[in-house]
Amino acid sequence: MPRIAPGFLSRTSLVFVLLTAARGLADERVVVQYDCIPNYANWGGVTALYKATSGVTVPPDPKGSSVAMAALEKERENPVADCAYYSGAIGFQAARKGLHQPYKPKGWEKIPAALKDPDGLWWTVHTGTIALVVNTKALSGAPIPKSFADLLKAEYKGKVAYDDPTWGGTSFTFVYGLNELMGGTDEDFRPGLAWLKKLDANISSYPRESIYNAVLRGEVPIWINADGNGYKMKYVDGGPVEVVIPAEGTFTMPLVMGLAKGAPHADEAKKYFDWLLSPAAQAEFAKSFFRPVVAGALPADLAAKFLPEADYRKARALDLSKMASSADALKRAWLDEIRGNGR
Amino acid sequence: MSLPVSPRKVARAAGIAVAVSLAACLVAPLVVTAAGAFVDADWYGKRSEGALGTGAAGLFRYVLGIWSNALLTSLRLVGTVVPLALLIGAPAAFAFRRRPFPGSAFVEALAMTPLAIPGIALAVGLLLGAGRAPRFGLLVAGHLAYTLPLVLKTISNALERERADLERAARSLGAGPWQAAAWVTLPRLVPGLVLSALLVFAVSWGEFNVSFLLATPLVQTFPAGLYTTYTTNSFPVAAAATLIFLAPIVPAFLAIQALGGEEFRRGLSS
Amino acid sequence: MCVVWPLARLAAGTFSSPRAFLEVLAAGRYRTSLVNSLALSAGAALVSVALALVPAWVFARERFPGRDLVRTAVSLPLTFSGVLVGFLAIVMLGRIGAVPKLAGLVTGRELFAGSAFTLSGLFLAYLYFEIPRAVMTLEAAFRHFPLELEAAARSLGAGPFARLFHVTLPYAAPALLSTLAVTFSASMGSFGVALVLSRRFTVAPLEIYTELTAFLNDAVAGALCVVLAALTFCVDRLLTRRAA
Repeated sequence: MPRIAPGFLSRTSLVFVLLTAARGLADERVVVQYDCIPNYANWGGVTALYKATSGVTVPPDPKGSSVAMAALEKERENPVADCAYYSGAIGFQAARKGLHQPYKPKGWEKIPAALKDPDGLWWTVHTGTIALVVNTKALSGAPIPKSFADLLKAEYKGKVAYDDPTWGGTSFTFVYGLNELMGGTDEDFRPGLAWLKKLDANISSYPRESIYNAVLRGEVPIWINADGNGYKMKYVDGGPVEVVIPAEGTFTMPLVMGLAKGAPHADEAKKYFDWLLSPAAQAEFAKSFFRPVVAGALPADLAAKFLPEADYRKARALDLSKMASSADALKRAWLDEIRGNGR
Repeated sequence: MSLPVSPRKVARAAGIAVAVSLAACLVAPLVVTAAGAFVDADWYGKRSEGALGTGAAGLFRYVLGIWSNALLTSLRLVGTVVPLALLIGAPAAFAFRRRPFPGSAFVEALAMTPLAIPGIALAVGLLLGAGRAPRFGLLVAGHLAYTLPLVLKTISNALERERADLERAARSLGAGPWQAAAWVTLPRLVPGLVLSALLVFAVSWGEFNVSFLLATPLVQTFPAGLYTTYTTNSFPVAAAATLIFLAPIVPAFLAIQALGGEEFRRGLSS
Repeated sequence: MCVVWPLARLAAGTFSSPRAFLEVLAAGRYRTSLVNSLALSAGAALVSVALALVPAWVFARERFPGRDLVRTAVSLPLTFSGVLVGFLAIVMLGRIGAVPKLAGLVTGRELFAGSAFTLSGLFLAYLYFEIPRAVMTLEAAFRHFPLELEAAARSLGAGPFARLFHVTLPYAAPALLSTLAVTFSASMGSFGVALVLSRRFTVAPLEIYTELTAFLNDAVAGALCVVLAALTFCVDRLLTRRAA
């Protein structure tokens, strides 16, 4: 039918033109980063800036910390990723598993000793603190919780959420730290899990991915996550959000980068790492309200928007080595206790 | 008592009303989503991606900026799968229908099995058996597994409606068997081929299960990228991304309807 | 060929560790997910076919202005991937979705807020992509429905119910069964919807995904795949065989 044939031909020819064009574009320079969520910690802005400065593309990737590590493990023989971004403990664990190769980017000296591996297997790019991110409008009248204990109250039923700790590193940090707070140890998870089980009554969900936008639009009123996300919601996106540091205390969380062993684009990845510690990159990260690791990179006006120092004194650092050792056991225990059978 | 309107007419009107309301229910979410991209009403959440400005243009530019690689991969994939599916499927359908060979029924049934197997099972099979195979190749294999049955069915149906006697007539006039096929049957199959191409295009463009499991940051399809958008981006951005996804499909569907919805519908039944 | 090899490889990969099968069938979480998948798919198949009956009949036998447009609208969701359907469900039925907002405007109470994340919401999402499939499949069958037989039966004096049981249903049965098979298979394989919407309700594809990506448990993931595929395939064959 003459009516159809031209349509078909032009469609196929268009496709072939695009095909050849696409083949050409596929040869552009890239760095593959596992866990590169555009709307988290401003990776979108950072990677766009890097592309504009150097012409290298860092494509988006939705993997959470644990998933990224699992992927690296799986691809040991056949590396696909050049690097990965994780919450501290998971990055530490990945390094211990031999998934990283050492590399100390330019500006290494600027990173505090506690926030980097002496051999260069991982290093902190920015830090956050576990806090309560509260969408006040979605609370519908309930008061803003001030402590972890408050969260157990009946008025918050169905209003609390934290990401699945078997997927994301931030939540894992929370679960591990909470266990410590409740008196547990690396061998004994019972205090922490018992408390989390009580909290489970008020939990709406354990999402696998960051629910940043859901919290912003009021789908989830209380999110236990990094303070930086809360500040960004409040000051950049203009949401009715408050950040609360729980009265009992909380934990800081370094977010780290590691260069994958056998990285396909190792040279490009190293240049990328160097750039991530540069003032331009650190300032770009600061826009997401995660504290840049390089001292003085946080502009004064942004620093003023954080909660007062007094609140942050309650935040302590966790022992990354111990966290990494008990990671698998704790994740499994959480799955069994909290997620249970078929939940 | 006699009714003012015949029960038949009432039933007909009621049936049409049901069909129309169903269509409305199915389309409503799309309309709402589209509105989210163009109507800057804050009613479904603010943009959280930094300086996007107001208006739809910024949204589309943002999505295209981040997902351009995924879009191109999807296009490359579709551009590979459609011709391959046709090249493999059409002759196969022809062979099964017009020149069956021993065991052809078995092979045909085997080719149809992916319709009864969950996509994720196939994807895991591909992953585990992958070894060092290039990801793009695996994606093509996965997509072919799901689109070949469509081509087979559509072309088979078209062949069934074609009169084999025309071909026989040509051969009785001295044409060789393949000549008869090429010059008599093939031209009459063009609508079926075009329909198959559109079907394969629509299915391959929207395929998620296999594509998501096999995705790497370098080789991601647009639907796999949509997942990240839905879970981490604000609603206006997600709405814009959805519209970009739908853009090629809607015309393809209208074309399918125009060409012969009948073939399409029969192609979908088991 | 592209079909046989991955299936064979999958089978090979899983059969090499039979222990995984036991784990899959015995362990609570995995078995529950399989049962959930079965139940949800069966339910979605039955309801969607039931709901599809009237529209399919109307499309097949009636002519009315705008029919093509309505038909296009109904068939469009066929190409939507699961994540898109999940997203649409959140748009309509999330905590601040369109439906609650509309309900709030009309009745003053935001009904159904957040229902996208409940089991009913998940079920509705499944229906969203199953009903078009069911309608299209049934329509093809209804087109060739022998109305004359029914007319003949009526002229012979058979009452409406007798006609229904002795003429209509026997002819419709194969079409209904094969439609059930198609919708059931599609539901069993549905992954994106559950990925986006499911909170506490787990289905087999989710567990497969979790085991594969978070826990590197290839053996269990593979075993789950094989069981899921086998279940789907068996039910599908069962239904289509009886339809033939």
